[in-house]
Amino acid sequence: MNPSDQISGVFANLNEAAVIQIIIIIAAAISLIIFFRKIFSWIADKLTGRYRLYTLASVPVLRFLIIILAVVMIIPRIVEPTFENLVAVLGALGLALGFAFKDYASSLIAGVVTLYEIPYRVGDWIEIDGAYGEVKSINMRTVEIVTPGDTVVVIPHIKLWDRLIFNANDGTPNLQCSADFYLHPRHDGSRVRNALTDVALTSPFLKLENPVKVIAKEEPWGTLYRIRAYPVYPGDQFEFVSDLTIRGRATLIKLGVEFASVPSNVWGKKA
Amino acid sequence: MNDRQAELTASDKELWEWIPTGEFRLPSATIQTTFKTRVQSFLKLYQKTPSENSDGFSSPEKLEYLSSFILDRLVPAVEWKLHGQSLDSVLVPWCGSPDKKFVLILNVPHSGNAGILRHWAAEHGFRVIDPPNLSGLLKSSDDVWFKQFENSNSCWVLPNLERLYLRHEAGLRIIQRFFRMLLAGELGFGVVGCSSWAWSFFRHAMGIFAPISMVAKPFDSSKLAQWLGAMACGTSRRKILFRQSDNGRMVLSSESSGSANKDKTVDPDPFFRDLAAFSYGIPGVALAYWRASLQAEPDTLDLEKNTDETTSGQSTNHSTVWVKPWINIEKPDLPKNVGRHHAFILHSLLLHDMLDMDMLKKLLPVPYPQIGQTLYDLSDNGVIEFVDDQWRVSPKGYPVARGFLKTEGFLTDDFS
Repeated sequence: MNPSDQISGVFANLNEAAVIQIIIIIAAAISLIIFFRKIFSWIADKLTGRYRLYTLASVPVLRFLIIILAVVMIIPRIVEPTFENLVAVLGALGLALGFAFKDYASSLIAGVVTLYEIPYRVGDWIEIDGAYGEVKSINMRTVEIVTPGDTVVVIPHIKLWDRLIFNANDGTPNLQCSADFYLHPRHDGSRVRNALTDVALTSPFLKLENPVKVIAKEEPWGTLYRIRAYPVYPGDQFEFVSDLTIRGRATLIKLGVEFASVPSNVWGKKA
Repeated sequence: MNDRQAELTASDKELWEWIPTGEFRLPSATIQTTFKTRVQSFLKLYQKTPSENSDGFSSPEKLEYLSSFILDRLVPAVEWKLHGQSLDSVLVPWCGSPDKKFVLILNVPHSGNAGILRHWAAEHGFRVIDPPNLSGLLKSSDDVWFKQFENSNSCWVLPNLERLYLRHEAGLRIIQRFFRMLLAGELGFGVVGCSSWAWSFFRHAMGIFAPISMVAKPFDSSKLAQWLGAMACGTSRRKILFRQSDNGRMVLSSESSGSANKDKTVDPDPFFRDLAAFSYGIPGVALAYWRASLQAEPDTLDLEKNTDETTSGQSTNHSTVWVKPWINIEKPDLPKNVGRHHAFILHSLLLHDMLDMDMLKKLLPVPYPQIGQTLYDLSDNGVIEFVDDQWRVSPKGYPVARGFLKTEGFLTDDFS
């Protein structure tokens, strides 16, 4: 048997009816994916808290299952489902993708990997390559985040292989925030720590079940105090930090604590 | 003390039981109601307009809500002083020889425990110490207030500890000093009553631990039936039958619920099981829903008459009050635009029991007009109410507010 006969043998089933069936399967799969994405987003909008996150996180998993199902239904319509035929077709497909769409295929595979490694979910706050924001959707090839400046950043999953991915809340509502205060070294440290702890405890944004820590550290120009605490809503992180900063600063001023300032000779050198 | 009060006092000890907080268990609802409520609340998410009432023959033409006069006769306001004796078994032995610095009595919202504690202190002649004015908590000097504890050899009672702090950076000073002195034994010994929500805040924020903490046992269906039945008992010369309006089932009878109703083997109507579960077993909340469930046929209910005439013209020696099916009782809803501001305000109100608008402005980073708008939104929906120039979560709104705050991830009290 010559090679052309072998190839035609592999695609023996591919006739006009099979092509129509394949088109219908693909169309149905796409419709189902769109339908589920819309319906789950709609349901999620009505829900709050962790139920919203679970609902949104189930969309990529469902999409992956639909695609697998569609592929399983399409393959027998293209090739005779024998072991040799499958190896031949998938091998050729892999080779073609490997050369022509290496990065694209790599992103698709990384997209599948994200489904079980789960480095990020919808609702997580992540940072990849300096872009920080909330994950809004996880597509087959990319993840879309919205930055605090309301800019959508589309990041291919391929970054998963060789970049550091920082996930601030990792699928939970617990997202730690920090508010920093630089003080002149002459002050009563325990009074400052107590006052800043009270500032955190009295913030309405605070998630009270999680610990509040105030850490102190000597820096070249003064003492750094850092409040570490968690907001109830991860999305309120910037308002939470602002609230801590404004009220913390006012409290420290009332205590008569002097803030650290950069010595004028340092500014002079920089200028 | 009239006969009715005497009767209530006799059953007082059975109704108001005090248990260690660790033994608190909530009453459960019927399976049918749990399922129906879940389905109803799910469907409600996607309804564009609220569905109309459809409770069988309890149509507006045939049934109407009771006048406030009759309602106050059938379900009068609770007289907390009648229940003060229930604390004797818990507190009197301790006050005689206190080996711990304080006993904590937790007040679940609308449970009336603070009132009971206050009356108990008055009955026994113990000093009642009230917190300073709320706005005074933000000022620097608190020595005058602490002078009340000086030379204190006898037991004192502080019924409302939740009024001794503000969730404000300057509002924790007195409560922190109070706990420091209390635990060091500098304040003598006393009974501290505190809102369950405020105590939860103190526990998480300050790591405070109470050596002895007690809470009123939640009212289960039997207790609710007994309590509400006893209220109706003696309000009329005739027997009053409480029947469910969709199927005519007997829910409660004033005769069987009075002094004779001590047979605990008789299961109360499922209505009370659902009422107990939804109200978290809190008497004040259950009472509000019970009042909201009562209806009567127009011009047929006269508690003073010896006989009653039904719509068919027959005379009877009883009056019928119709009880709406539990599932059809209107419950307060959160506003459609519910968000963070609603959550902040509800949480603040529960942490402090009640607050006025000016104080809310001091505690929350929310612009003044938005605080006002949010308060009116919540008030219009019946979730909060304006009492004594201050806002508080209403009895009917409490289960709704609590459920919302828990779902949103806010700190709640420990009784769920």
